[in-house]
Amino acid sequence: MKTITKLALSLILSSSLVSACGDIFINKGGYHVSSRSMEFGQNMAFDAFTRYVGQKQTSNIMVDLDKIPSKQIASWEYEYGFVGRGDDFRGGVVIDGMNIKGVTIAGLYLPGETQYPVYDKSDKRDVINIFDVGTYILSKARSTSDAIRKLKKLQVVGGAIEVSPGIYVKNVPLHFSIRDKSGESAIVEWIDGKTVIYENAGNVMTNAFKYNDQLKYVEKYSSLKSTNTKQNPNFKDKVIDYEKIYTMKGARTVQTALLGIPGDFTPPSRFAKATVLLDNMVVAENSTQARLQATETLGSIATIGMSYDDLNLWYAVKDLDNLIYYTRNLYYYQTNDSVYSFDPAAGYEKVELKNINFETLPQGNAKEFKALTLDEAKKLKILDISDIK
Amino acid sequence: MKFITRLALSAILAITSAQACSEIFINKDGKHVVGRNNEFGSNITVPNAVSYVGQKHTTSINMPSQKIPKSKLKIWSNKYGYVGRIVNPMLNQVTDGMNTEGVSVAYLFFAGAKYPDYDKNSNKKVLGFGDIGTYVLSKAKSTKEAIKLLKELQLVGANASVNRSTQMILFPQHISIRDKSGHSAVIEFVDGKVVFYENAKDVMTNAPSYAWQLKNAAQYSSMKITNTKPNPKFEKRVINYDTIYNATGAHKNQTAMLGLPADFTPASRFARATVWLDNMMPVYSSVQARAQARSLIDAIATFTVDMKDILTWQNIKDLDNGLYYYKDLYMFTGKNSLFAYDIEQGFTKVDLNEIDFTVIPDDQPKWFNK
Repeated sequence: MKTITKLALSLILSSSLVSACGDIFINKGGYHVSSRSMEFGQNMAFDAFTRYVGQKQTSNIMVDLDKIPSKQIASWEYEYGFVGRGDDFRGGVVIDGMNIKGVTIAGLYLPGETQYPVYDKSDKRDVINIFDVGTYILSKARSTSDAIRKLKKLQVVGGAIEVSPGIYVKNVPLHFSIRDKSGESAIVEWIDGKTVIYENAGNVMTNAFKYNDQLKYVEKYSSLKSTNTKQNPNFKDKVIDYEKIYTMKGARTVQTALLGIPGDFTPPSRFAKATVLLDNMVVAENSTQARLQATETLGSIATIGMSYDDLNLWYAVKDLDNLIYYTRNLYYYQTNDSVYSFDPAAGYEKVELKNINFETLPQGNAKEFKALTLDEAKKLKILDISDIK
Repeated sequence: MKFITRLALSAILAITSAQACSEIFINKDGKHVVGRNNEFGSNITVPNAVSYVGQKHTTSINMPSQKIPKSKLKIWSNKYGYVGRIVNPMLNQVTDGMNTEGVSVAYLFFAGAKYPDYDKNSNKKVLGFGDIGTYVLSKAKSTKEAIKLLKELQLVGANASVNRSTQMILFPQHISIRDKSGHSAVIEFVDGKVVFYENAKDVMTNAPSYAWQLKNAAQYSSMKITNTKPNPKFEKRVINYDTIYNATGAHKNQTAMLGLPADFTPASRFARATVWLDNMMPVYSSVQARAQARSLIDAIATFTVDMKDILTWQNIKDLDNGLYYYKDLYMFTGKNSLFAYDIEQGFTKVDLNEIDFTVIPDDQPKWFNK
C-alpha cells in the first residue's frame, strides 16, 4: 500500500504515518457517484489498474503461510473487468476501483481500531489476504449485496504488502467501503481479530473511529439543517460569537443554520462535516452535476496541506450509473522536504469503462497472478506497521 | 443585491440575491498567488475580457439623480493591459482581474455598503465605484500606486448596467487590491465614506466590515499545528473534544484545529481561511502555491443548499508569473435550474506574457462608454 523506495526507507521508518482519506457517496435523485480522496504521508496508489475478464489470481498470503494448507488458499477467475488505483507489485493491491457492473470499492486507513484475523484452522472457508479483498470484490461482485455474500464465504486473514521490492509490511490498517449503482453501501472493518460487515451503510467514510462509533458521533450533528429558521440550541455554545454571527446584517439563514459544522481535519469532524453537507445539498439535476457535487464535497473535506505528513495526493470520482472513472492527482512526494504539485490547469482524467473491451486480454497482460510459494514467503523480511511508526 | 429589469420593475425590486464570495492570498516564501470563489445568485460577472493598452474609458455612474456634470467624469486610457471577468462587455467594468504588472483586483459582496454621494464642492474628478477595478488594473503597477491614484479621485456610488434592460442598483461590494510584492489593500464604503485599509492581510469574504473580520479571526489565532497540548479555548466548543483529541491515530495536524468553524457564514469562512493560511506548509514552487490556492478555495467554497449562493466560477492569479487561471462550475439555466460544468475540465490558463496588449484588435472598442 505504501510505495517506498529503498532510498526513502529510512525516512519512512522514522516518520509517523498520517492518513486522512475521505470517501463520500452522492446518492440521491437517482444518481450514484462515489468519490474519495487519498491523503497520506507517502506516495500511495498512484498506479492505474485495468483488469480483464478471465484473468486468474491466487491470494498472496505471506503471514503464517506455513500454517495454511495450500488448497485452502483462495484462487479465482475474474468474472468482471474493472479499473482502479493501487500499487502494482506482485498481484497488485487495489485500493480504489470500479467494475463494469457499477460496483466500487475504496480502501481507507483505520489506525488504532484495526486488528486483522489470524488463520483459524477450524474454519474451512477459503483463505484470502485482506489486501486482496478489493480485487476480489471488483472482479467477482455484481452488486454490494453480492459482494457481501461472497465475502462471507471467505476467511479473511491479515497479510503483508510489498512496499518496495523485497520489503513487506504487515498490519497496515485498512477498512473498505463497497458501493453500487443501486445506491447500496457496505463498510467492512476488521476489529478485534474479526471481520465486521456493516450492511446498509451510509454515504460517508473517513478514518478512525470505527464505523459504528462514527455513526453515533455524527448523530450529534443531525439537527444542522439549512432549512432551520431559528437558532440551534445544540450549537449556541459551540461557536464563538454565535449570537452575533447569527443576527448580523446580511446573514442568511441557510448559512447561519449550519453554524456548528466542525472545520478541523480529524476523522470524526470530517465524517460529521461530510454528512451534514450531503444531507443539505440540493438534489442534482443530472449526472454531470452529481459528479461536480462529488468533487465539491471532496474539496470541502480534504486536508489542505498543513504539513509534509498529510498531503492530499489524489482524488477519484466514480460515476456508477454511467461507468466512468475519474482521477486527478494533486501532489506527489519527491524528496525529504519538497513535493511535486500538479497545476490547477489539470482537470480530472476520464476513463469510460463502456469503451474498454474487458473480454479480451491484451498482449502483455498476465493471464494469472500467482502467489509466492512457501519457500519464497519464508525468505521474506516482513516488518510490522508498528515498527515504522 | 437589487437587480431590476425595466420590464418587470415592480416584481423584481423585491428580489434580494445573495452572494458569498471568498478571496485568499498565498503570500509567503516569495510566492504571490490569489485565489477566489465567485458565489452568486445569477450569471452576472461571467464574461471574460482582455483589455489593451490605449483603450479609453469614461466612468459610468448611471444615476441621473446625482446630477454630475459631464466635465467632472473621469476619462482615462489604459496604461497597462489586463484580463478578468467583467459585468458588461460594453462598459468593461472588471469585477475580478489582473494586469501585466502583477496587480490583482477583486470585488466581493459586502452587505450594508453605503457609497458616497457626489460632492459638488470637491474639485476632484469623479469615478463610479464600478470602475475602480478597471481603473486600478489599467493604471497601477502596484497596490501602493493604486491607492495613490484612487485618492486623487472622488469615488461615488453608481448603478451598474448589466445589459440594456437590467441594472444593479448600488450593488453593495468591497474591493481588494493585491500585488506581486505581497502588498494588499481593502476598500470599503461605510456610511457614505470611503475606507482604505492600506496594509491588508490575505483573506477577504463578505460583511461585516474588514476590521471586524480581522478581530473575529484573531479569536482563532491560538490554533497552530505546532500545538502539542489540547487548546483550552476550544475544549468546551467541540463535542467529545477529549475523545477525539486522544483517539489512537489522531495527529496533531488535525487535532490542533479542533474548534474551527466550517459553516458558510462570511465570519466563519474568513476565520477558517485565516487559520489555514497561517498553518499551511511552506511553498517550494509557484505551481505549489497555485495548487495550495486551489485546495484552499475548494475548502471554503459554499455548497449548493439553495439557488442563491452558487459557485459560478473560481479563479487563481499567479501574480509573479503573469498567469491567470479560471474555471466555470455552474451556470443558471431555465427556471430555477443549474447547468453544471463537467469535472474533466480543469482551470483554463491564460499566460499574460503571451498576449500582445500593445495593439487594440479591430473588433475591440477604442473608447468604452464614450
